[in-house]
Amino acid sequence: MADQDIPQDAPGLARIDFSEADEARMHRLAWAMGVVGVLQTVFAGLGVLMALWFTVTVFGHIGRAPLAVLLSVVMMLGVTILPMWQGIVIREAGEFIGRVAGSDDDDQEYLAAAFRRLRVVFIIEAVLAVPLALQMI
Amino acid sequence: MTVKQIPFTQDDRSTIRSTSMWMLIAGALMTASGGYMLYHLLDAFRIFGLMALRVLTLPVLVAGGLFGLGILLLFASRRFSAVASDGDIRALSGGLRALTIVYVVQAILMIIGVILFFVSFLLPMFM
Repeated sequence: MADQDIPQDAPGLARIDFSEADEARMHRLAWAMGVVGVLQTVFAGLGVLMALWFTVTVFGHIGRAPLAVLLSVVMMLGVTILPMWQGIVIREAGEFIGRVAGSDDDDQEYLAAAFRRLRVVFIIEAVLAVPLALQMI
Repeated sequence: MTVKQIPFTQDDRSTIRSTSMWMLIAGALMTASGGYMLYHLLDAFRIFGLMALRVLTLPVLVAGGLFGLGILLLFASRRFSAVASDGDIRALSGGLRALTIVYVVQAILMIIGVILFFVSFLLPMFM
């Protein structure tokens, strides 16, 4: 699935001249991103299940305070689904960074693909950090 | 083909630029939140000195971690922004170095968190 957006035999692909230390560091980064991605996906997935259970429970009271119930359901699902999605994308980005370090060609394409995933990761990170920052104000 | 300056396409450059911008926003929010938490924890240290660490270990770790990781993200974002403008391989390497520290620390913290979760929550349920 992650390979879909990489054009095969695209022009201008380059091997980037990373040092051995850089490649070792990228392997470490890929490993760490894999661990963070998988753990975040699993735990946020458990959170999604709990949010769904909460949704089923709370819909029994929708007649009393419909707006409050809807808002809390949307908040619960948002707070759990976004980190789960982020975990999946972190793992994918790590996979591409691992390929940059592991292969001798197409480095540039893999790097660009990793940056596309990282953009999504940091958009979600910023969105999730806003409530924390607002809470402090 | 081996390059010192990476010939990214215009599309790739704009992707890297927007990634570094979002990294900057996330890093700034994390640094501000961590700094704010640390500032408020200072009061407890002024009153109780280092004794406060006994009860405030976790909040200090969270605040310090947020602050430190935020600073690293700001640094990585600056390096990646240089990559976007001139494809400099040294800037890319510097940015990846900062990102490695961020994710290795996160991975270690998450593994510790999982171990603590199993030991303190799941294990007692089956004993």
